[in-house]
Amino acid sequence: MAPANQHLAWQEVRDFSPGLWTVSTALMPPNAAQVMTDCYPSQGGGLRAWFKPSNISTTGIANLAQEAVIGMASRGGVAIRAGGGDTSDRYLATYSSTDNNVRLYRMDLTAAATTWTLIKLFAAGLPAPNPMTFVVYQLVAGGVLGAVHMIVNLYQTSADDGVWSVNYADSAVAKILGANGGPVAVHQSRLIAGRNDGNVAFTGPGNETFGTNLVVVEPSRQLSAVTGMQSYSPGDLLLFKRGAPIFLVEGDLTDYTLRQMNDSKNPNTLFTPSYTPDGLAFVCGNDGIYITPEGQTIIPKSQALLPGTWVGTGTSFADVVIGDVSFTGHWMVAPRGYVMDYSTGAWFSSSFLSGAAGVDGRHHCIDRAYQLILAATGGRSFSLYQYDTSEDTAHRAESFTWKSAPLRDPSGRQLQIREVQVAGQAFGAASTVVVTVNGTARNSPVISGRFNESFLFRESAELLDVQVVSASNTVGVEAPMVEAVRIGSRSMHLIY
Amino acid sequence: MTTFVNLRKRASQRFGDPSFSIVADTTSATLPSWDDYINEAYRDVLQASPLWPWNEAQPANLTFPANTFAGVALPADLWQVEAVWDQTDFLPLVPLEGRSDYLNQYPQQNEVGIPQHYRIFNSKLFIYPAPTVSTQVRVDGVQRPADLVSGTDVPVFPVAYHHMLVDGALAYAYQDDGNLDLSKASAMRFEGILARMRQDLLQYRQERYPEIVDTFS
Repeated sequence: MAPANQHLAWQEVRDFSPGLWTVSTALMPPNAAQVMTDCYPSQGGGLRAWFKPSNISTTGIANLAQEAVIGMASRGGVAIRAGGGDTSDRYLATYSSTDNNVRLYRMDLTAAATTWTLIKLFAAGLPAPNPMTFVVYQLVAGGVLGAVHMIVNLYQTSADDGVWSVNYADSAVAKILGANGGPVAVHQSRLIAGRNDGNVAFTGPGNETFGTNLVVVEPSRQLSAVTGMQSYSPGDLLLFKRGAPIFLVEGDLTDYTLRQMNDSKNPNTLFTPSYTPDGLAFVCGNDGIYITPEGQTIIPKSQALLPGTWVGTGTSFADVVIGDVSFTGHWMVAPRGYVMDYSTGAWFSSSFLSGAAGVDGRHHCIDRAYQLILAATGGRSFSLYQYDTSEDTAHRAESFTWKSAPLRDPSGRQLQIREVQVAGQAFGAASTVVVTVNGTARNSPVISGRFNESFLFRESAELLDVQVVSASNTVGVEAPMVEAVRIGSRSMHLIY
Repeated sequence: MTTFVNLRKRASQRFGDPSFSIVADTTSATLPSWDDYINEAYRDVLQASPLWPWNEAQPANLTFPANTFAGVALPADLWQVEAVWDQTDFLPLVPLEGRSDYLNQYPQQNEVGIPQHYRIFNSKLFIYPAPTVSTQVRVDGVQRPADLVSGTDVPVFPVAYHHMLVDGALAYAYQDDGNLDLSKASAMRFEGILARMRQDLLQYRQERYPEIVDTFS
């Protein structure tokens, strides 16, 4: 039963694709959201629950209260050692504020590991290290594939500064390059390592011997340290530097042509550039998320979010670095729990990774074999999560929150919201929807199947918004999908 | 019998707001309430005619001390005096018509004797001349019934017309809600039932000419 409401002005929000909008608090597209947590806009309209992660154990971390994550990697699609199927080999790097040591852990699921094993305690060093980058490198000798190594870098004022190789077979850790352990990547069948002086060291094809091989990349420029590298089509190498232009190294590393590209956006800490359909994504520290197709064109992707979102201002050392961008499916995961649905361009946030401003959720990686997102909450005493991005209902969040843009009456008078209708579909018999206007909350009855619930209000103010919380109230059941939010309002007094 | 709480409940149902989200059941700091709307409609009904039988007040007996020229306060809820009777002397008292008639007839304002006239001023009853002995005066009038307060209160008029209070309350509620169409519709129903009640209850009182009381003898 609903009151006669034909005298109300109705606004229906079906297209939620502007997504989360934090760059301004009041002025935003009328269908943007002040809060969009654990849900994303479906193409064509509606809101659907994003994914709920499962926990990854932190057992085995030496001192969880003092260690913070500085990098992680997961290599999926690896045959289980005991035979039968395949799974992932995972690595986690932390830095401890107690002993100033970087620790490298491994959880080898191919050997049925369920906890972390410390495989390398690096020498103590100060200040806190740069983020650690990882790359899988398979040795080749005489045209025959050999051992698989996980290559990591340690870039810190420390006796162990350098590039390290972890043997998949036995976890043996060996230093393969001395100082200047910048980001690592594989390019033209070679292992490459960016250096603090702006140049790039590289090995022979299929081996781990760097020797004196060097790509000289304008080392005389200010802020030349290499912060990110990625092999790039059609066989070139794209180099990001701390404060210098992006460079494209064309041709064979032993006979290259150097091209200077755009100099407007510089990622200023170590990171692994992620592939997206439009190019490589990176974080420009105090500015935003960008994608470059070739180093010259730089496309801003996070204009809806406050630039300060990405600034590392946390007080928990070792996580104040900017963080990673990861891409899988149509999800681009940025630091601090922000995620972009690449299909609509909408940003939203995952509540599981949000926390204290500045230190939350900056490190994550993709398991490419299984389209998993592995992520750590920020700072010390971190948690580890695994998101399964399979587009089914089983892995989705059990509740989500959407809060509309601030609403005004076009006449300049007070706005009175009298009714909110939420149409959608519930997946569980205990589902509910709660709508809040101006601090007044109205709960739906328990809903199941398709629903169209009416929530009555009499809330007046010059500026109002509508918050919808959808919840299945059942573990493992997706929160009700919202297809449309209709807001019935009318003009009120000119002043109080 | 329609109690106050049932009238509020019926109004909220017809308004489509049984959970009292838009209009509160009882007085609220933030929302309008059905108890106010029902009482506003109730007052409209009571004020629609001074001739409603339930408006006729129970006699109020006032005592005038001997040789006192001051007026005696009328009951607070008596808002129209229809008849005044000197019960001590068994005489009807006649109103002093006109603004200055009481001065024309009793210029000294200290005349004493058997009271013959009365005057209402400032919610007080004055009688002239002032009695020489303590005198009981009966006052009949029109008294406004009190608002509905308790949930078990019942409107004073016949139950057959109680539902007009719901329509009247809805007219106010829809008007405040900006829904003028339904406000007008509710107001029309309210007025229609009120007109019917007026016809049903007052018609016989007007079927004959009013009595002319001979006051000259």
